[in-house]
Amino acid sequence: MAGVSPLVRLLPVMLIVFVLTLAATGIGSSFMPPERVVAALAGQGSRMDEVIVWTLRLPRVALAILAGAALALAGALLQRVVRNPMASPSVLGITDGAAVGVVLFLWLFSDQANNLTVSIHWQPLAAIAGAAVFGTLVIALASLDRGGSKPLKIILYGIALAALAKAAVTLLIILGPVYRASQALTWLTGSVGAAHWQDVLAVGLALAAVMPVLLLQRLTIRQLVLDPQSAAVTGLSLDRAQVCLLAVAVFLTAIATAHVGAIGFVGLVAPHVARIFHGQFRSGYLVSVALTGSFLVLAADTLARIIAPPLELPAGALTALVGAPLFLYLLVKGRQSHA
Amino acid sequence: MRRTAIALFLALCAAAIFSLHAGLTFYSPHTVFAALMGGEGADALIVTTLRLPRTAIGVVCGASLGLSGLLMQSVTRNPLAEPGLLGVNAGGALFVTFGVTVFGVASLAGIGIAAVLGALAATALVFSISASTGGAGNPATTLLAGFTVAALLASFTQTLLLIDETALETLLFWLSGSFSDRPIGLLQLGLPLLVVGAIGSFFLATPLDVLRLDDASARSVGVNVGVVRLAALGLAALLAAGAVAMAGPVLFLGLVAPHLARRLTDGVLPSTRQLIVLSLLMGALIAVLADILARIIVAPGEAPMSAVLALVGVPMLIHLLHRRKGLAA
Amino acid sequence: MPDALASLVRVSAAYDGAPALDEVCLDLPDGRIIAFCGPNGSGKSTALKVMRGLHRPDAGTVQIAGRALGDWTQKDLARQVAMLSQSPDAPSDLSVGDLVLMGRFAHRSRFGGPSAADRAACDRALDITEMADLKGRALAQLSGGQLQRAWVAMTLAQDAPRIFLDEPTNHLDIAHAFELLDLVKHLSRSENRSFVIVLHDLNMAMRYADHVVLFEKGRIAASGPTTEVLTQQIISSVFGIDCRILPLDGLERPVIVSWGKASNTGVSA
Repeated sequence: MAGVSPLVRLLPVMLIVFVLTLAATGIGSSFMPPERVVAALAGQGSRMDEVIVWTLRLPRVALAILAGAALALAGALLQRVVRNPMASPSVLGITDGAAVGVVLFLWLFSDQANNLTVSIHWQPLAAIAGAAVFGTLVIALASLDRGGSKPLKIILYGIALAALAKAAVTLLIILGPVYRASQALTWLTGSVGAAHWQDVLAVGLALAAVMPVLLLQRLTIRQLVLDPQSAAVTGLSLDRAQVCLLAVAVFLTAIATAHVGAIGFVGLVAPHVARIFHGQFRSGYLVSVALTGSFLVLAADTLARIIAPPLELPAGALTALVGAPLFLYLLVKGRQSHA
Repeated sequence: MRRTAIALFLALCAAAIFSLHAGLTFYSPHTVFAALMGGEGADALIVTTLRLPRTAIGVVCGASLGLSGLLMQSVTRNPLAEPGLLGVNAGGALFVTFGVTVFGVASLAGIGIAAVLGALAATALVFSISASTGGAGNPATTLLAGFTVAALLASFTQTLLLIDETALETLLFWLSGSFSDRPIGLLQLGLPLLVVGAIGSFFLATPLDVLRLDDASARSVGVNVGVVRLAALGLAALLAAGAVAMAGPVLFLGLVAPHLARRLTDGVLPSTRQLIVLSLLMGALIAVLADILARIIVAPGEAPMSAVLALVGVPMLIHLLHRRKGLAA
Repeated sequence: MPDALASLVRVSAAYDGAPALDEVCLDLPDGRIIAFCGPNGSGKSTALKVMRGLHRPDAGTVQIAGRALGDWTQKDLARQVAMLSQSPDAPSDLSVGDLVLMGRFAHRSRFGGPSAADRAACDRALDITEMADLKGRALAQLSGGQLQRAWVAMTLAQDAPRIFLDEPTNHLDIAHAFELLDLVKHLSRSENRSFVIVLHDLNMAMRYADHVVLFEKGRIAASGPTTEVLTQQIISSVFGIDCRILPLDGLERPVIVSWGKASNTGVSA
């Protein structure tokens, strides 16, 4: 397998995501077989089919794919920066920070009649602000703290602040207007159900904006697996690299969280799955991570629609249902073949 | 160290006594004393049937979780380990939810037993998975497997509850984790588990001290690393299962209590034996304090325990992390 | 002195809160093998880290290769000075080849794969350390000695004219230790590279070093050509041991023999 080019390794995941896209677009209150889906996508289906595909289902599918990729990438970057396999946007308090931003936003800017007094388009900004505040707090606390191992400190402070953020969200929901509570709760579980093309565009643009940074930092991201001293000796500006990549991770998490809510687990597990079946030191690792994330959220959302119709569950409730067995299987299989 | 332990114990007693007085209405010591001595009337009823049980359950739960967290952290050498990562909370919640939605379990005792069974089943699953990936020898794998299993089970629970909304209403109070409105009879389940756990931990204290070294060094001085690790994780699971049966999932306490205990003593890291005592006391103290706060901060409502624990525990943790240099795991 | 490897002026530094270097002044010549020796906690490792910019001194100035430490960019410095730290760490599923390639970080272009020069440097480093056959192995599958050699290969791949090694013989048996130091000597003589090595074993320092710096309690007890520093009197006073320096037939340098803590009676066994 060593000689196989990275592209060939990526093909199976790409294929799976593609097939799943067709299936997810076809599945719904009225089932559409793949050939009609393809026809509608190509602009040659019936008018009805095209409306269903283009305005109802495709935005949802696309949002799931993009948000999954964004969260997975954020997780992979964090695991490298912190040098801890347990790192992920939610463990470090970034997801919960974004949640605080959004709940605070809903709380401050809604009137008695359950209407927002400002445009909903400000919500992503609130999420980014919340995520950035909590992300910065974690880093600031860890860097003010001179002793001990820094990566470990970052995670400890992250867990602590995540708990604080969760508490703040809970209390805001309890203390805030009741009519906002249920809305906030749905959002907190994470769902792509209410997707519009503008959500897709926003997350897509964020990913596109991050791409050049990731390409330029390709070697840096890889170098970060060394212990800090060895990495610094090879010429890596450790602090700068860490801050830069953390900022990218915070940005990706915040954008994704603002548009699909607090979908958990993807950021933790997608990098591990990609590591086991792609290899974390092969080129194309981050692509593999992104595709795995896309797969997880898309599969979770598809499952969420068919598990108890006509009820649609939030995708965030099911990412673990899809991802956990896959990861556990790979974990058991991978280790055994190693030993 | 002895002075620290005594100070903690006194603080715990004071907190527990205060807990009997505090709430929606504050009672005078006279009223509380009369109630405890078998007094009659509404006030006495509130003290003996509401405040006494929740205080007692808080103490036992907090102590169990504190000790459970300590065991997990020592055995996995990972300061981030906490009972929830063994799947205890998730397993308990799933079994309880299953019991309520499918078998129509309604009594609190039934819920408690379902919780213990679920907690132990989940732990067994985590263990067997980490064993099949190369044994308990790799703590990182155990944690990852635990985290994943917990997420998986939580996902099942959430799905069940989303489909069956009435079950959600029945269970919300249990799932949010709290010491209030729990029958004192649950102590018959939790207290023995705590005693077993504490005694067992004392037996394991010496090998656990050695386990602070790397595995190879520990083995070379004659510690059977695999057995000690399995035994300690088993005890941790039992302790946490007792807590989850009594109070529902209580997060964060198991993580924070041992850290606080470790940082209470000056100078070198205390021995495991000392840490056991300190973690028990610290866990109980935090639990009782958090419970008091939960009654007060959003009165007349009742604040969720996890939120209060975070509000109390996080600033303490950050303060202590900052005060001490280095991070002794 | 244009050809100074490093110069420290009144450098003080603390390590883990305890003072480790106390107003150290030191000039190190280029193109030599320099050994840092001294008892545990005497400040030799801290001095090495300060010189490589890994540890910020509390006071004093450090010049490396003729320029103040703060004036270097990370990558420029990395191209000038490589270092192998005491307990390096990388993921166990990393392959030896990938590890060695990481040594090329400061040389590689941001775009595309490794250049011909990168590949050549890696191959040469693998050849010199005799790790070429193990290139595809994961670090987890290496023995302690092989692992250390993999890290040495990574350090060599960095292609720096100056190399710092912090107790490089720690995990090696005596044969591998000699092998490594022979390699150092070879590189120093044939390619005129400078080495600064923290060494515990005084006999190794005696045999391989051109220049020895002896640390004692955060200060420098002696610094100069090896045979002038490693004398019976200086060693006895710095380490507090009884020893004798004996010439052996056929060896260029004498050996140090010690038999116990210092006593005033001389040979007691």
